[in-house]
Amino acid sequence: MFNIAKAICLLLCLSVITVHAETTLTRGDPRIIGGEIADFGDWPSTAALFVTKKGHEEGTYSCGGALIAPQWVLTAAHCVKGEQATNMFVRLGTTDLSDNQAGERIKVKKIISYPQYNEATFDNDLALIELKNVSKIKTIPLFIGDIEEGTPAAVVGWGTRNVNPFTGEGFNPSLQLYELQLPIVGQAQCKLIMEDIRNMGPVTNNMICAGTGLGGEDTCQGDSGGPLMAMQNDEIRLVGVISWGFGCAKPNTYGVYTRLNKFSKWIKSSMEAKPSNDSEDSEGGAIFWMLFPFFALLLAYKARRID
Amino acid sequence: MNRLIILLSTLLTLVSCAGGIKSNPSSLVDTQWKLLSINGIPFEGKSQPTISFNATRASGFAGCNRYFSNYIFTNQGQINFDPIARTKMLCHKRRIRRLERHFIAGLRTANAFSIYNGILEIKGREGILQFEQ
Repeated sequence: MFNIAKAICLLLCLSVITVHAETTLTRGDPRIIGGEIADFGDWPSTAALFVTKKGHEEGTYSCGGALIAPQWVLTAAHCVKGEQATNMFVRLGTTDLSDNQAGERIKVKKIISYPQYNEATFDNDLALIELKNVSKIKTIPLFIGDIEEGTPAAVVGWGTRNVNPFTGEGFNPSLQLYELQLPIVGQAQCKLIMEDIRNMGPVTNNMICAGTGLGGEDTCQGDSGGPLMAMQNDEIRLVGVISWGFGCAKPNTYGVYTRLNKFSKWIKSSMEAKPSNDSEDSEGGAIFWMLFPFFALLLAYKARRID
Repeated sequence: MNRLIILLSTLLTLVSCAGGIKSNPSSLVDTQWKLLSINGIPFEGKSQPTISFNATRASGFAGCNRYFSNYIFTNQGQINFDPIARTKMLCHKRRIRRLERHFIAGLRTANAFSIYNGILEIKGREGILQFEQ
């Protein structure tokens, strides 16, 4: 009799724990985290970065990006760290990654990471990707100057839509692009929360924070490299690049982004630099110029002999 | 009897010193390590997690994402990493996701460390992480 009572009690306890775990799991943390499915065409310049195995056509999605010029995608440096251009391609002009035929698929010609990217602090987390072909998709201009605290901004991504409440880790990536509105957080407030209260950082002046601090809405694993955008002069402009955070969508924390207005000169000069050739071509070119003096001397010698 | 106790304690001290067990904070500063095993299961594969220490901060690669944390020594041989900041890349392979989850959990719940025979051991509620240089 006692054993039966004990078993019933145990079962009741287990069911209470299960219900509690389920409600914690779903409460306030579905999607990008939070947000809704993005409509096709609302965020046309959003890019999806894919990494392929050597010799394979199919790739796996790793990060987001933003098309800032017809042949240039901006992303996070940590997204391309250790990757070779020949093993990457970018998809543009689609919100649905399950449809392999949708939008454009363009191979990567060259990767330029910001030279002072610090992988121990995530400072200067920025990279440019030069595409092999010109995209026909609408590009996004950079936000000019400093953005004010409290300005509504938008983030989009194919990142994970759910968070494990015990580990703070994202799971269940999305094949549909999700969008979310978040306010820009002032630098002093972000430093206060992230550095002083959370004991993490530093949040440098090359970073910008966004979020409500209430939890339940944030970017998460799979959103890295994607755009943080806001309105300026009646058009959507690129403010930041999704970079890092403490878990996803936790209360009393913010998402941290690369502050693009600190890098506008580098972005411009990198894109204006002499266009690179394909890796094979540039190798061939280098060999040609190395051997050029030899051929010149040979021609001069032959010409003298003919004289 | 007293002589025997003194002799034994001297011997014990000598043995522990000769074994090279280190657990003082300075032994970690400016060192870099690669993951050997998690809870005794050897790491195999390409995405080898790492950890580097400077005076106040630990950082490295978790198998897919990069991470950093300000760490503190609470006592001789005791260590605390929480909270840990991470980048937000997607880890597609289930094996890598699981590796990153266990690795981060191992660091997040760590409370002790030691270095013995060139192996760094970080222990905590979620198990033991072993590293080599």
